[in-house]
Amino acid sequence: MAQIIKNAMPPERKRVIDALHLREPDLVPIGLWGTIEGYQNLRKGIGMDFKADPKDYRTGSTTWTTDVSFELDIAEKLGVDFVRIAIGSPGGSPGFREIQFDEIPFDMGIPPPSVDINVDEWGVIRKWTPHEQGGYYEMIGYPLFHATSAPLEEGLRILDEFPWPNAWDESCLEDSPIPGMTLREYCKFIREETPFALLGQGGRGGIFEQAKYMVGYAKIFSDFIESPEFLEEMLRRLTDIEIDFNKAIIDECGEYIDWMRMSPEDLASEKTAFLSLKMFDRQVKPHYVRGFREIKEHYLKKNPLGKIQFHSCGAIPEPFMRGLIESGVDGYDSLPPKVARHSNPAAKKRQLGKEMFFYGGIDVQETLPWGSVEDVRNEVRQRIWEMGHGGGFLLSSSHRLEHDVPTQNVLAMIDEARSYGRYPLPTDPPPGADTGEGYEPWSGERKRRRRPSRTRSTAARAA
Amino acid sequence: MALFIETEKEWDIEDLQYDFEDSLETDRWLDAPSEIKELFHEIEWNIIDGEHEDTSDLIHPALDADVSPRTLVAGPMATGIAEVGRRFKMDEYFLPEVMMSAKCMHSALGILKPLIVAEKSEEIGTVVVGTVQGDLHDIGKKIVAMMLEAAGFTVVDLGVTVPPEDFIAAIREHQPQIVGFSALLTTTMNMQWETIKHLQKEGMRGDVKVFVGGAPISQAWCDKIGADAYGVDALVAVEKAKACVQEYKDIKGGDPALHGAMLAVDAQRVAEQAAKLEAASG
Repeated sequence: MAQIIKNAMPPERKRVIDALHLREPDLVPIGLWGTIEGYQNLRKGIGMDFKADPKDYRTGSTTWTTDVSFELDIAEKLGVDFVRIAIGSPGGSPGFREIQFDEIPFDMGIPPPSVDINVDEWGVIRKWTPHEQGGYYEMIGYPLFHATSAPLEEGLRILDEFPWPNAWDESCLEDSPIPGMTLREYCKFIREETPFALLGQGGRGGIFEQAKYMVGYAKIFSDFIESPEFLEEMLRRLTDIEIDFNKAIIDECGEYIDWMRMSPEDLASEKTAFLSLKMFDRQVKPHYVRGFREIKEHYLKKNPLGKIQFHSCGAIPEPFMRGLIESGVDGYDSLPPKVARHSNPAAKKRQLGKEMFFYGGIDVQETLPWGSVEDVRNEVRQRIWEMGHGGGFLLSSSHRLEHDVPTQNVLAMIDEARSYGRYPLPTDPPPGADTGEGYEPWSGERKRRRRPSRTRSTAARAA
Repeated sequence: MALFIETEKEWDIEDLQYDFEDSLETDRWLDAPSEIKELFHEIEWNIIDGEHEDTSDLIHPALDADVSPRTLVAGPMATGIAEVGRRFKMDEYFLPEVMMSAKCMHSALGILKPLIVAEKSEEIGTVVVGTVQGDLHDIGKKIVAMMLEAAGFTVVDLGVTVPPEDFIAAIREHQPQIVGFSALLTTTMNMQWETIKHLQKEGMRGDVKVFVGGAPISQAWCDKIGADAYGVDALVAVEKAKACVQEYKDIKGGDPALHGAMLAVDAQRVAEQAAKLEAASG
């Protein structure tokens, strides 16, 4: 690894900082993220050794995902521009923390499951679900399901007594992808001894996202209508914890982290948002505004050039994105390309390209796993042309690289991004790029039929 | 290599842009007395508005007015939830509203199901049904199970997210003529195929006739994965299930002849509908 002259910014890092600040860099910056199996395959594919046991890897985000922080040797070999780091789990070992059902310190309201399980620091129970190569943890138990089903007062009492994870636990910051280094030492090493920019994730669950895990996907959505007070209190507490985890990593290594990623908050399906705009604005956004603004303020004291990035899968319509910008978000990942056109990458760039940067964009649902090398190259050209003009684009896969992504496709993605992604970018669109022709904005929230007065509800009739 | 999933069932947006109010004007319950029609409209709107307590409150008055449970399910409940589906498709409704409407259906079906099951006539066969592993949806499957019971089948409902091993154990235990796999997601429909493969591996494919259904499922998918029959809706599923245990009871599961016979049931229904339409217009 080339020795970096202290205080001089290496081109890799400068490229990333330029993109984050919506300036055109020399090249479109590139980074990678993947599952452990995807990562092992990639290392194997390019002739590098790898650890066979997934448990030897440090995970990139939360305990339950089989998501890995790419090590520096592969980052250097593939010539990417940035690497990722995340805070560890409180009180646990790096990566997975497996505890038994009877060790859960509170009443789950369900009988002990009969299968191999994993319980994370929130008390969410997951079942190991194998696939062709490796597997993942599938949620089967929700620690606050019984609380949200209880009367409000009882529910609030459970929230009050719940053993929430402690963000200030020192073990969160104890380890890093390099054995023997603390998180702070690792971040310092990246800054001083390597050319890479660093993306840091502090949160360990999120706000709306973790709320889904706490009560279950089916319950959370009816709670918006049936138990708004309980939901409000739960989201308030989750926001406090998100703030604390982020402050913990910022206090420890904020000056070495070039930009921060908030905990993932999936807000949308591939078709549209999960919630109506009204519900989002009233019941979710205020927590984002409070949480993200406080985190950002704290972060900017440590790193005045810092930016914060928000993750959601799916097709988030523009009005929701405006709410995110209002809450202090500077950038958005992971830009899935095969979603409804009102919110595809090109639409996002046209709508918001002057206000935020974008990260991700190369399809992991079809192109990377199943496409040919030429398909990958085409898509990289399309995405760079759509997203890259004016800077503000960091290229990566649109979600984790999984075990079924062939190595040659990853190499083609990087190679094409390096040759096509050279600024100034071509003005003429490559074949297949979304030029905005025939685009129609999101049509949601149209005025809908009201209930005819002749069909009054039972309550109205009684009154 | 992961499976590439084809789904061809995509509604045309034009079809969905009909005006619900217009459809209220055209009287859908032509032969019902006016107070029942009003009750039907109220049940329908309670489902659309997601008021589950109000919905179940109206079920008994409807039953008292001599409306059959099956008419309620196929009538105002079906049209109400269809309107909810339309609104969801058009980005007028989002998941919270849909969940509330689903609750209405559950609470009403809770009252109606025992009554429909009690209507059951003679015993004609056994069916094992379940939603495949990884999928938590069960309203559609419950409706099919209920209709099957009413038609005289003994139905063993294994619930949601049923692993292939549980289907196999249930088939061994209950010896059904038919097994039905439900899947509501494009991501879980593949488990229908996996479950069929498990049946084959266990050498049990010939013992049962495999039915598949669910929103993303189509006849093409049924053909592709080697299932015997696809039920486009609950009534068709019942019609085919009856044919399976009566006319075609001697054909084994997985036999191409059975598959052809099931397609013929569809063809006959389409022909009958066409004839009816022609008679009405001519």
